Amino acid sequence: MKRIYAREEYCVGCRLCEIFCVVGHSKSKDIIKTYKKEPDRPAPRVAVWEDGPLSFAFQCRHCDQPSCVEACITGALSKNEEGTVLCNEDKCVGCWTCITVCPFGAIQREEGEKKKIVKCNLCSGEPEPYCVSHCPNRAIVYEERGVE
Amino acid sequence: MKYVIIGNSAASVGAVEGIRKVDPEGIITVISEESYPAYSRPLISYYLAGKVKEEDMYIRDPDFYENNRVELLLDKKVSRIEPEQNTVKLEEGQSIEYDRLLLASGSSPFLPPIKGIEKQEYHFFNYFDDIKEIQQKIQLNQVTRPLIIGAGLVGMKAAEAISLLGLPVTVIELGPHILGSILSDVPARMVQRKMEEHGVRFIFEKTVKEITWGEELQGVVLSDGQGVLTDLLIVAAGVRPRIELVEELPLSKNQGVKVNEYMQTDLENIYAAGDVAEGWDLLQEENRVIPIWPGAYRQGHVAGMNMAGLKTKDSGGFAVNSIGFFGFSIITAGVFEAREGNEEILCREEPDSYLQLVFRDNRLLGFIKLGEVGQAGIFTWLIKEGIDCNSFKEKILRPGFCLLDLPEELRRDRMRGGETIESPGCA
Ligand SMILES: Cc1cc2nc3c(=O)[nH]c(=O)nc-3n(C[C@H](O)[C@H](O)[C@H](O)COP(=O)(O)OP(=O)(O)OC[C@H]3O[C@@H](n4cnc5c(N)ncnc54)[C@H](O)[C@@H]3O)c2cc1C
Ligand code: SF4
Ligand code: SF4
Repeated sequence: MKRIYAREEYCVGCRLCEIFCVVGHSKSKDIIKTYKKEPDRPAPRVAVWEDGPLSFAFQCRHCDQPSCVEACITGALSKNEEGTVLCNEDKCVGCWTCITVCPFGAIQREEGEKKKIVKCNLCSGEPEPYCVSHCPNRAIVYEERGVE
Repeated sequence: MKYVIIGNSAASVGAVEGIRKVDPEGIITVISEESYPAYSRPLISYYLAGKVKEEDMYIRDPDFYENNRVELLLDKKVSRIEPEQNTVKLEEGQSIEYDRLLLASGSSPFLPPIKGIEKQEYHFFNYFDDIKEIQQKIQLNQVTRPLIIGAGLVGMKAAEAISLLGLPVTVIELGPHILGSILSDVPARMVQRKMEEHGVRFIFEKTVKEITWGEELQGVVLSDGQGVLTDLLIVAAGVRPRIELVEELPLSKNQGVKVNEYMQTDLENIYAAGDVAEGWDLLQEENRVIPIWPGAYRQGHVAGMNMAGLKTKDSGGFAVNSIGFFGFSIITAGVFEAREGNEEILCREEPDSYLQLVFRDNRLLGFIKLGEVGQAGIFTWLIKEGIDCNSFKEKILRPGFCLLDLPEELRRDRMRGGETIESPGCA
């Protein structure tokens, strides 16, 4: 399946991917409305890790045998036919069991008091994930690399 | 092929999904003595506290059984397994034939020997119906002084839920501190303080010896002679694997039913998974019951694939727990005590958080993480893969430890998604 891969050589740590991830998961999908008007701004599903000159964007790997799905105590997590691992946020109770088993540290939490996880859904329905299409440096790519 | 599954919880759902990955045609029958489609046992305390509605208790969509062509028999208890005839017998007399049988009967609460308990009212905290009874009592305003026996995971979840309903909870624990199966003394005290701030009261190193007088208020006599009054007594003194159905059968069992790496018991056509099974413990290197939800699902899934003819080895597991009380998170995995000389403990303690790491020969064996959540799974992965952490041990202890802190080769492997973009089950 197509997955998102980081190219750390090109990442400057600008975090535009995080911002556009938020936009892509907002109600309006409009950057101004998302940040200025809409209540309940979603948390980014992608995180930029940074240490000096090294930085890269990271999100769910959409594992073939996802530990998170196995472990979820509510059935909120599932893997669909295309292979995307999705979270039904209505069902999530914020027990963090999935965070405890995700071997990549790829799961984020909703902001504020809301006890829910958020995770990358590859921007289901979009031709290309928001983070990928909005990175000015092509430091994140969306590619079919198969199983190595 | 006829598949019969006894039980309808995590291991059972895992098995149905495992079977259907391999065999779209065979006939699957799932038998449960409970009256609900598969629901989340860990959520029963959330339900009692009013955080989850009944319709959100179910771990699969309502059409799960239909879509997977499963015949679901609810309110039916299996009373015997007859391996010579390849049948299971229901309590009401009906026999059901199988080619492959899965025992996914889970565990049941343990009732400690307490004088007079059989004559008094008490509740367990394990099944949905237990919680509904407790809920009804509370809603009828019949509860003013709830008392819980046992400060393990189940007892603590019960204490939190009932306390959230505004009742003053007392917990009696035989051991010196709470959550003895997953926490050492210092972190346990930290969690205890958090619970006490919310009005939960603890009595340690005492047992309940006797229950006397009756009707509305019961008196409980402790091992030191002290009396405590209660109108809601919850027994949460641990669980035992439900091996009653195989007690007489010629297959190995200790606490639970012994299974090989294919989740098969000594009888070729009978498999076992979940809380009832002694699967492989990666850390202790022995067969052991590890009674956790993710492990039950994983074992059931592996069992299902093997039952359907796809030889699949279970990778084994170890204890992994994530719970929280009043918003304070507790994440643990593996072992929490150093035993041999080559084992080492690193600790970081702050007023509202705590991290403890146990290493053996520089390999992570277990951790306790309180009040911090992020990226805990990377620790679990380090344990599972037995990775040599010598070069980055100190970094693991820092708040915000993440992929960046791994040596380059490991980090790149993680960024690619692991060599095979597969993470074999963790728990
Ligand atoms: C209150 C509570 C909270 C918990 N929280 C967590 C948590 O947060 N995280 C975690 O990892 N684990 C948690 N656990 C443990 C977890 O729920 C279990 O490990 C898991 O449910 C085991 O699944 P299982 O499929 O093996 O069996 P079970 O869930 O025990 O289900 C077995 C089923 O089989 C049925 N059955 C048994 N015998 C028969 C028979 N003869 N005929 C018909 N039906 C039969 C039983 O009625 C039951 O429905 C919790 C447990 C409890 C009680
Ligand atoms: S959340 Fe983690 S375990 Fe789940 S699919 Fe993504 S990378 Fe894999
Ligand atoms: S935090 Fe949410 S998605 Fe993760 S295991 Fe718990 S209920 Fe499932």
